[in-house]
Amino acid sequence: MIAFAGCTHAGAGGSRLVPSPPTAVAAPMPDSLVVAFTDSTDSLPARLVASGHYQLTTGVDGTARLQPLGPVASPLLIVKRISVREARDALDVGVDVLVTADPSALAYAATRADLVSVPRGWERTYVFLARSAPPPNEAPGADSLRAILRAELAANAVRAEARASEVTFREADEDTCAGPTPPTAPIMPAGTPRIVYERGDDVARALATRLVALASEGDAQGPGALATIAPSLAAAGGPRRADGLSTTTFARTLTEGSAAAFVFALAAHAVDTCGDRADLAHVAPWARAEHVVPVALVDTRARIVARRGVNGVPFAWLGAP
Amino acid sequence: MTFRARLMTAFGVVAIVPLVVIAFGVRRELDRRLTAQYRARVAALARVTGADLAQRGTAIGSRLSSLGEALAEDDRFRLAAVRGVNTERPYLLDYAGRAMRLTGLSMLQIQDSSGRILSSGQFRNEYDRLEPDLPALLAAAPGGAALVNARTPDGPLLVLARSDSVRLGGRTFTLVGGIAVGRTFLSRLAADSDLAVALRLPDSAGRTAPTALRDSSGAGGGDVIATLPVPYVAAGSHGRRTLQTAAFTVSHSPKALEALRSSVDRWFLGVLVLSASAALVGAAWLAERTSRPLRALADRTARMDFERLDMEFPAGRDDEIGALARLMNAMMRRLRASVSRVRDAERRAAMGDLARQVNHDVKNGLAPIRHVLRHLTQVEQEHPEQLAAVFAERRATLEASVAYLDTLARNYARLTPRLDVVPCDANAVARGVAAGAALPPNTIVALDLDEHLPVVPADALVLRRILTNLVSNATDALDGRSGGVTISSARVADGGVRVTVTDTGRGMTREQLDRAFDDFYTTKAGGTGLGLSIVRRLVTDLHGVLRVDTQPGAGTTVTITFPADPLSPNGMT
Repeated sequence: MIAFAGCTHAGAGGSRLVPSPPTAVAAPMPDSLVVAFTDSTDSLPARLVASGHYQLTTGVDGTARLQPLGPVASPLLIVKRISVREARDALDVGVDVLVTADPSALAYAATRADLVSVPRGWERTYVFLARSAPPPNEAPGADSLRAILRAELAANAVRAEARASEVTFREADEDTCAGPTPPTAPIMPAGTPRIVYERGDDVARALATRLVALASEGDAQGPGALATIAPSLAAAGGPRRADGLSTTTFARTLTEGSAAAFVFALAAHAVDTCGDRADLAHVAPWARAEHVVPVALVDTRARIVARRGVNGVPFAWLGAP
Repeated sequence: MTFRARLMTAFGVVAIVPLVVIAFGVRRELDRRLTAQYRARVAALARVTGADLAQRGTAIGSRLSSLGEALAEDDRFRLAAVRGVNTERPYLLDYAGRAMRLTGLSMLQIQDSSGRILSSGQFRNEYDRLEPDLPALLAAAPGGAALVNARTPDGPLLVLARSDSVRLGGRTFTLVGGIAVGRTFLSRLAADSDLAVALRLPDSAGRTAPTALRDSSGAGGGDVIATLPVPYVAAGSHGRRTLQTAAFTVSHSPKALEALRSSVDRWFLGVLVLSASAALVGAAWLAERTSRPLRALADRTARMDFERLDMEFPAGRDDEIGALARLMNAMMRRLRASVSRVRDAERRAAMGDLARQVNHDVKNGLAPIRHVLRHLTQVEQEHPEQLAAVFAERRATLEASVAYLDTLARNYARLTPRLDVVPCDANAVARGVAAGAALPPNTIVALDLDEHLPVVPADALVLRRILTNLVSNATDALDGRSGGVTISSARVADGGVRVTVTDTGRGMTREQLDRAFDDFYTTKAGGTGLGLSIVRRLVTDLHGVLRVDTQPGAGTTVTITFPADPLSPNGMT
């Protein structure tokens, strides 16, 4: 039996449940729950199926129907992917659970007494990867310019709940983390230097455009801020534009390293830098080359907005810590 | 060239030459006015484009002014921008983007008094950038608006921008807003599809460079009819920007006017050809109508000869052609009189010749008789006893001579019939012919006679032969069908007599009529072809006029007019 009344789910994994107001204690379990999420780069149905508690029955037009498994009674989950613009409308038309990082939708949910908002874990780390000379290594926790830049990016540039990334990549990581022989870094492509990101990833876009802005003359922080993460790129005038690429094109461009700089997300591994490095090497093999040092910029997370009184789904399965 | 062709040419020239002259004059004047009006319209459209451009600059100012009023009432903006409340900073950073979309602008910056960008609509994350020179340059621009290459994450965006300011909490905030200047903008500036608007930006040296941007109409090229200068904030050396001058050029393609002219020309040429064709047709009709009676006179004149002096020219017109026909009729009458006199003279000459021949022949016949008589006288005086024997011997000579003379007399008597012209009652002759006509079944000969008909000088036998021939032809023309033949008589104005034989038979074609009076021409099986020829000769002998009216299938009417006095020139009609 799954409920919001502070009970502990007895299923596999021992997922914690979100504290629920007393008014929801007696709420009967519905036959089905409608779960919506706005992150176009996430795959919530896959995450739920991977939890082992649901199986996918149908998936059509962005809507997946997930049948609960096991002896524990759970409602059928109808999971929909919606756009950011539809987030507030979804709350109004009766979506039971909304997973989103959109600050507008979250602000709207905060004004609604019938909704409760629970943060998910820091699940993404946005990385800046440039064809540039490596920045000087920084000591963990040092109050460096790079740390200031990260904090500023998290606070102002990104329209999502973000923090300065705690992930650090160092050249020494290559020595400590096992991996294949570093390949030779690709040659810098000709043309206007640009930062590319995956179209539809608003956080990556915000970070990329902010870095472009920092590269321009007259900025209050100026090229010095950019130089903390890509000194040679900043010395060359910095990236002049930020381009969003389709998923396929971005993946190919990142694999080939055929752009001046990239901003993209990796799954967060807060304490496992080798894991981050492995993820990075998977999508950008050339990043293992000497002198190519990625910079983690911000960590982000979404929130789970649930209708009070709705029970039957463990929040851990939706990504809540 | 025939008279008809000359007439047609003359009429055509008289009609077409003025028509062409007037037409080309009208065409030239039309083209002049069309071009003038078209150019005036294009110039007006260019002025509209200039006014539209100014109005757009004014509209940007109005939007910024409204936005400034809204800012003054926005507490969250005030908290973030004036009070520096950190929790409202995201609101401040997103403010320009929302305001830009709401106001329909393509670029919006909100700066503080130091020129630091607090919020940017077209480039959200360019906050904290310093750009103090832009508002100052815009404020210094003539008209308050200028072209600016605004920064965006995707590259520069050319906008028509202006600035405004608002004071909040004792601090001044500057608003810089603008609308994108692209192909769509230029297309909307072009007030007409025939106009093309392009933008020329100055180069780094301040010179106006070749066209940098054209509208999306594709109507490039053409004549530049207006140049609209506009201030341009250009990037200078060392990051310093300066105010220079760009230009919107309004050009017009002459193709539209040329197409209009071509269309007018095509219509004009079509109307001219139609008018000229109508004039030619009219000229041909007029020439035909004018020359037709002359051709009729010529045709009749061509058929005229000594054997055909009975024809008459139609003299019903009261114009020169009618007068000519009357003169021709008078000439025909004189010819007939002259021919009659010539024939009399010939007859007299022939009579003289005949008399001399008769004298000669009679003398030849009498000479043997005279010789026999002398011989017999001589024998009586010298040898009376031999008289009987000599007479018996010479009697055959005498008888032969007498027989020769007798034969000679009979032969001369058969040489030519002689007219016995006496006052003759044509009605009586007509009745006799009608009574004695050999008619096929279902055929009658009707009489329509004027009982007060004067006598006509004629030979009764000849007159009878004429009417007998005509009635015979009329009954033959019936082809055995039931029908009628009518003999009518009437008095004519000069005292003469007109006798008409009308049938309801098959009639004659024009070709048949032309040959009807030729010797040996006949359409009847077994006919001799001499009937009408004899009739015409007999009528001419009686100084009459013969007229035939016929239509195929409608019968034939033969009219014979006998003059009261055959030898008077005016005696016949």
